[in-house]
Amino acid sequence: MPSIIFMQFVMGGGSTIVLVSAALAGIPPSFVEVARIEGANPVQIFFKILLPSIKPIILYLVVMGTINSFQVFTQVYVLTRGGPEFATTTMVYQIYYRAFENFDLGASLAQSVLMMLILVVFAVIQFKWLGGEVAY
Amino acid sequence: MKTATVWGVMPRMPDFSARLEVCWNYYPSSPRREVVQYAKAGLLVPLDEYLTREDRKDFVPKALEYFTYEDELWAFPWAFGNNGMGITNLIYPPMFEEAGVDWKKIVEKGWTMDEFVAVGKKISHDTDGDGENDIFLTGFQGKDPSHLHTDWPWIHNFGGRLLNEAEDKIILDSPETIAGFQFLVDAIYKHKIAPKGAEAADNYGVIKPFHAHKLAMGNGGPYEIGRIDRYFWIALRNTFYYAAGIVPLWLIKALIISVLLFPFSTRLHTIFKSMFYLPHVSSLVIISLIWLWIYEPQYGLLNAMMSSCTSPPRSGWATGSWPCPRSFSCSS
Repeated sequence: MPSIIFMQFVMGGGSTIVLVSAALAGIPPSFVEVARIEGANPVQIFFKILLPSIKPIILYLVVMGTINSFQVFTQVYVLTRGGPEFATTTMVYQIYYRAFENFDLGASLAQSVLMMLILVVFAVIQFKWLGGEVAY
Repeated sequence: MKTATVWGVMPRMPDFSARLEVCWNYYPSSPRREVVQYAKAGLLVPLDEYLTREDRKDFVPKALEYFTYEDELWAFPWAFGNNGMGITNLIYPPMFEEAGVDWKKIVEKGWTMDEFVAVGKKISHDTDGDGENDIFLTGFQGKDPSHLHTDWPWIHNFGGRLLNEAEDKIILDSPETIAGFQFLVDAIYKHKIAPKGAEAADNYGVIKPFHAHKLAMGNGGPYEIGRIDRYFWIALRNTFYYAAGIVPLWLIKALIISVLLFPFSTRLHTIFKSMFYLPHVSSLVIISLIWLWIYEPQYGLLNAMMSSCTSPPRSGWATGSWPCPRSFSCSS
């Protein structure tokens, strides 16, 4: 599993970067200027000005990232086939395996529904956590 | 757990003396003798700690007793075969019970060829009313000669042998072997207890219908059961692990890069953003295939890089566990 995470870390995340830097570019320059005039150091600027300003984008990225990473399949299928000893078997791979290798369609359907419910719960939690008090 | 693993339910001729000695006369020696030899030599680790109670439920007690030596378990029926596919017999008990067949008795006492056919006729039946059976007792496969070991026990029961006593001549055309093959053909076409098309079926042609409950018996190993029922929670845990790893990592990476780019001009932004976005253009399958090469144990890029450090080459980059971070320390 670390191998797959590492691969995704190096290769993926491009759209995250594009969105975050677009969001940062969208912050009115006056915010940062005022902070600087008030004597804030760069760390304070980052945590007090920039980060809260791009909170909606971060919320979007966390929710979508969670959903996307629950759907991880291709890497597992190509790299490890869920092995060794089920160490990299993810839910979608398991669902695929049950449905199309074992022809146990009912169980894989049940797993898919369960996965959807888990994702809904996660999204709700994330919205509660990050969704409040969105600045500007 | 609805599926039981049974080692030794293949029918035997009554004159076979050893109770579990089903088909291993076909092999040079019985697995137990080898296992005990290795255990005595201290080459094996007892498995008792590694099998959970749930794991044990996969096996008929007798199958585990067979590999117990001095009160410790040294092996279990898994994939006794010559190509990884097992000839451990899996049975699906509900199909036997539905037909009123006492499968426990078969497992305990064994059965003869005639009983095998009789049970087969009870279990095999037609479901869609076209006059042809759709549910069968078992299946045979003859597509791949290297998979013959799953059919061979039946032929062996008729006295069919691959080699003569001196082991210098193949005697596949002996009358006994032909009688064994005839039994398989009769099971399909006369008794209708196995599906047609055996000549084009391989191991998967037997095990997949078994999983779909079209066959009451199939050849495989307990690994087939593992894939049926138990690994959902492991998959869930792995997925959580993956999500918990990748979402923060991506966010941190994105924040660091964006903040570093923040003071620079828009043109530089665009250049870097397109650089980082570029991998998204190629297919994930291709990326994975390339990384398979990077992780490759012998010639892979990662091991080549690591070999310039203190760390010895590793074989399990793609699949195994990774070394803990401190072993990454490079000195040269």
